[in-house]
Amino acid sequence: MRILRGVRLVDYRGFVREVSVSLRPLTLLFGYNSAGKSALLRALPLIAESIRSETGPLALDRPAARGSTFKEVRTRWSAGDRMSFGLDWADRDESLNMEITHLASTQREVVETLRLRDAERGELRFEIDLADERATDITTYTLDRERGRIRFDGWYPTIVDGFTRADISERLGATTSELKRVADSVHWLGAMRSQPARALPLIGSSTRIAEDGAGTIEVLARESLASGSDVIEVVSAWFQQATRHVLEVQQQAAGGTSLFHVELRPLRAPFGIHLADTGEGMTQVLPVITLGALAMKGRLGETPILAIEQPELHLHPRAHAHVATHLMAVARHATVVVETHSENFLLAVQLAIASGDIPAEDVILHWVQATDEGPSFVETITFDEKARPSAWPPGVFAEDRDLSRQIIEKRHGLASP
Amino acid sequence: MRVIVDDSAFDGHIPQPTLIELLVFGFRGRHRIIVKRGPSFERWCAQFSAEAREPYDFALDVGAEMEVREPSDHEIRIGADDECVPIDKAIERLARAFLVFLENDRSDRTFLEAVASRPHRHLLQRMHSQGWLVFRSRGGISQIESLISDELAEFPGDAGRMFAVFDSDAEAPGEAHVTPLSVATHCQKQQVPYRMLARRSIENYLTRHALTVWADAQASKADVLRGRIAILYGQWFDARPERRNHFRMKEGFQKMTPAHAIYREAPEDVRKQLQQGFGTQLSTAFTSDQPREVDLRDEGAWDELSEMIEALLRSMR
Repeated sequence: MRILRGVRLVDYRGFVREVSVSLRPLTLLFGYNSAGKSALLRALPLIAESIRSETGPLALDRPAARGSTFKEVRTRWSAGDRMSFGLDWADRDESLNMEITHLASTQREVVETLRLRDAERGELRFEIDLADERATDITTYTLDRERGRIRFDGWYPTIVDGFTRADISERLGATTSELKRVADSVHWLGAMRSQPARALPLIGSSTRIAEDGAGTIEVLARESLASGSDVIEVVSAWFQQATRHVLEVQQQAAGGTSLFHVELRPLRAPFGIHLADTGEGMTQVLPVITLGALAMKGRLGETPILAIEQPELHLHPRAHAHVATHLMAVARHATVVVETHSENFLLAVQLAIASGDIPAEDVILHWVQATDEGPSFVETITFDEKARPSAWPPGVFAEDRDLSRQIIEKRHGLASP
Repeated sequence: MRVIVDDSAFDGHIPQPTLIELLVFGFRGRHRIIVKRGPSFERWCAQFSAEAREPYDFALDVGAEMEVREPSDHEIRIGADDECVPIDKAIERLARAFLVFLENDRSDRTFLEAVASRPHRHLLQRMHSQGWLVFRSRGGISQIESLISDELAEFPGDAGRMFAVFDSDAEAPGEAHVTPLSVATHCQKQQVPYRMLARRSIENYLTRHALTVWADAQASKADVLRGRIAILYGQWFDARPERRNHFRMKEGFQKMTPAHAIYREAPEDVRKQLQQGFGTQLSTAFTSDQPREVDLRDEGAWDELSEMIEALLRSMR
């Protein structure tokens, strides 16, 4: 089982040069607004979509790019027309670097350099020959003194000719398999989850939840029909604990077909409420809890990576800790990357570390901050076994106590020093 | 400071104003007051109305909250057992300002604030304006040892309330001058946390951008200074950045050891242009918005400086 343990981005979005994001079973991205948290998190689906892209090595046409051009995905804090993505695996100290260049003459992107490295087999570095950059099919690469042609489908490399050494084709073949695993393993939930339809038929066989949460009801409907599935049990248990509601999948016949919807029933109530008629927080959190449950029950493969923006969105702060507890349980089966502003989420994680419910080394926090000059940087924070952070940016989460202090001072006529 | 207060402190033997004085440290967010709650504390609380208790409840809540993310390395206990400090002594200790010993109060303090990130700078300034943090110097590195000794003579065992920052005066990496080495040894001996700058002096942390902004403001000298900056960031210094990190910025080559290995091969034009350095006014180049964080990161100073500021702030907790 190979686990992705880090992503490196060079000249990406608001960051300068290389930004390195270590991944642990639970990886938290915190920071003020517009610091670059979402950009960092979305690098994962952008990489996944680029790996299997049919339009070039950078999937600018996919949701993770949000309609950006190459120049908008590339940092504006340095001049240039290339950027790169790096993937690091834990075992064998293995890494891949994909450098992508925008060709101004043909307005397209090509793989400029592919670098594969591992501790045992050393490094292979394929570099493009841009002698004829206007050509529609630039596939000539050099490796040491060898020349050959490689076609890239997304990031998948295929030798067209040249590079006859067996170890080269073997390494490229293994890279393709590994990239496919990464592309399939990333599941992204964006911050804006869409409202569920009032009733849905089961069409096709997709079991994927889209970045806007679409597909969640269908996934739950399929699980309700599958014998022996306990995914719904996990999801419903979460709703019971966090919101005192039971989740039920309802099926009704409509003109020869079955339509499905989800209801939430207050614990002791005789009937449920259609999900679309419940609070916004309920609909927003359902895809998060469901995706996590699928990972826990092995439905997303061996090494899923869940990239989730603001899982606590629209929930009352009391429920944030429950979301954290669920995702910590998921982190035993997946790599969970969360972007959040929630103090309660963090407190729940710290409490779990201090209680021994999650090992401190399984948690990492990246504080993303923009400087006054504009570029963003990432400071990495780890925790010891007593949940003490290695550092903490001053003032963060102190705002409420400063305001409370001022209220009490006013109320009691206490002078501020 | 984390102040652990035993329940017995509330059994009536300590006067009420003294207990309230203690809780005020927590209310203000200066120290973290954590009470081991028991029947005495409950009885003590019961004498107040809910409204009157509000500031005390807040003082205790805030202490716990601060400890979660920014735990203190220092702790005192107030109570009945032998390890406890008498409450009067504890309050005296808690009221004393944290001392940062510097070579030069003005320029070194400006340096510390300038190289701190914005939130760190605000915190330093807020603590200073409230009198919780005091910068102290006697005009020179050689005086830091006596400053520490004098303070510890008056307040024995209080080294945790102090921090020292000073230049290394090193002409090359790892070659700190004898005086800063002596100060470092003294700090170690007295258990005072300190940071000796890895580069030669604070002026070696001025970035190219900060130097240029400063040079541009030097009226008639601006052109000459800009020429010197171009040399300082030219080929010879770029080939080995440690040359720039340990160059005598104010005085130039004229005051440096000519035969030192890393400067021996300086080309004649480099030596000539930087013979006089940038002058003694260079320390005024540190202002609240210079150098910029992005440049400090770019020029390789950020890791050392942010670690230093974090160590200082950690000591102050």
